Amino acid sequence: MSDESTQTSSIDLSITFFCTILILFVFIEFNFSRTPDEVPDFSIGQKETQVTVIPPTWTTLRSRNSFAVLDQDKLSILELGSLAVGIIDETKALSTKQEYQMLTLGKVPAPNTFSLTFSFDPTALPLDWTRDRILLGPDAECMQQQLKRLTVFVSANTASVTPLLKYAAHCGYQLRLEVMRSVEKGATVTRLFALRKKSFSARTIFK
Amino acid sequence: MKRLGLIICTLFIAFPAYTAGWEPAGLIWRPPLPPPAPIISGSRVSDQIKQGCGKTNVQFADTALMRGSFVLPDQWQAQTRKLVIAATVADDLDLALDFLNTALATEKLSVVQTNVLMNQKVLTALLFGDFSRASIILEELDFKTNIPNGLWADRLFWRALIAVNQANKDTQKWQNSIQPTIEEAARLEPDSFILRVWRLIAWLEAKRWRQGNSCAASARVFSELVLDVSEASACPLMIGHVSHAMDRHFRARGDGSTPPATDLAAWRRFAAGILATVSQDQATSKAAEDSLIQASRISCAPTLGNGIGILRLNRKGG
Repeated sequence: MSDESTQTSSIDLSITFFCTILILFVFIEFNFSRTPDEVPDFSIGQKETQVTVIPPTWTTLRSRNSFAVLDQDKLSILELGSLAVGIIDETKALSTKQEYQMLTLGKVPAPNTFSLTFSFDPTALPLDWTRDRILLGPDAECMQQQLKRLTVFVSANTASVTPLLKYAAHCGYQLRLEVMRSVEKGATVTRLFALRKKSFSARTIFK
Repeated sequence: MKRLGLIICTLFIAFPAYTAGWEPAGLIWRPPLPPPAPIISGSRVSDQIKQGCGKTNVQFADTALMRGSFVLPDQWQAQTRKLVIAATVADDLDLALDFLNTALATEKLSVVQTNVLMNQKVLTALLFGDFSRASIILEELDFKTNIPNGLWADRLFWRALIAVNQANKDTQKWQNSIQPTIEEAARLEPDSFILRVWRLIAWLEAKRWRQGNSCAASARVFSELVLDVSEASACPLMIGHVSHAMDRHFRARGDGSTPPATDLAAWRRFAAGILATVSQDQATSKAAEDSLIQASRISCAPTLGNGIGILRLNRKGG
């Protein structure tokens, strides 16, 4: 009986010993192959450092913009004053089948709520609506104007915006691109300027 | 003997249980101190987390009428509206102001309507970045007229904003003039998001942490300002925007993992920790807590760190 119990104990001990070695081996093996985690730079702002981030849109003041239309290497600066005059006096507003502006007054009590639809041929901006035409290139002159923020309407089929970017960098303009659908020559696009209570909703501002 | 052994064993088991949490001070055991009172309002944080990205009463618009802060009983004539809209569209400041002056010359404008248009002139100059012109227009306004609070608040805020443009980090100016003006504007328009953000900025610029009775007292005041901002929306996107806007104002990244090196950095890290907790970014909240506790050389930093820690602990337990 004691021989059997001794034999059983020996087997139990051997099994325990080998199991312990196995556990140690597994533990050590996984520890050696483990690389330490990178400590992230914690931030409640931007998380992805590899992705170019469009700057957030919330600012205390909604700075005013100039607008322009890009047609290949020609930049046509919109004369917003003409649009403004057309708002006040409809008889002075452009009103053809292709090129027109249409104002709708907004509903809230603020006097300047509105939406303004305007239509134009991006390859041939009407003269009335053109402040300046700039041929982009190394010798292109910077515009003499107060505003340094420029929104440019760009057709989706524009081959390259590099000349525009270089021009903006050279003249110190803060650039924003608004992509329009591709149009055939002679066709028109319609854009909308608007200011309403919804313009100040969280969803609109925090994009 | 058996009985004695049993009693001794029981004592050995019961004594540690009885003194759980007691800490030795030499030979004497002292009961644990009561936990410090939380310095961040856990209930406000919980409410904001529940609210999430939902709509709130806080208004984001930059003028009183757009915020709907008062009801204008008078009707606008269509032509007056067109002039104001034209001023909104124009990209030349002189032209825009001409349109507004023409609108002001319209007959039958009420006192409130006149003041709305005067405010619009100030805002237009600011939107064109012409702070000196805005200042001149503001000086021409009659500050004694009885007008709705919202219009007052806008004027006070713009006056403060123009002063900020000229302040050049002059703490005295912030303390004596700018911050009190912003506080007065916020008192008149408590639901304005812009004013809530600027209250936070002004508190930091005026270094108000130096004037509290204790770190905890200052932290309570400051944390309420932070929670006023996040009350607008507990959405991570909005909170990220606000954080970035503050970074741009202070020209420095506010959050991160390294311990803050200055008082200002510590208080900004505290704000980041609170906002991270509200937006349920546990990792950033923990990092803010740890980095503040490590910054033992900065006065109040450990208190601020512990405040975030208690907030997170109470949230886990609650």
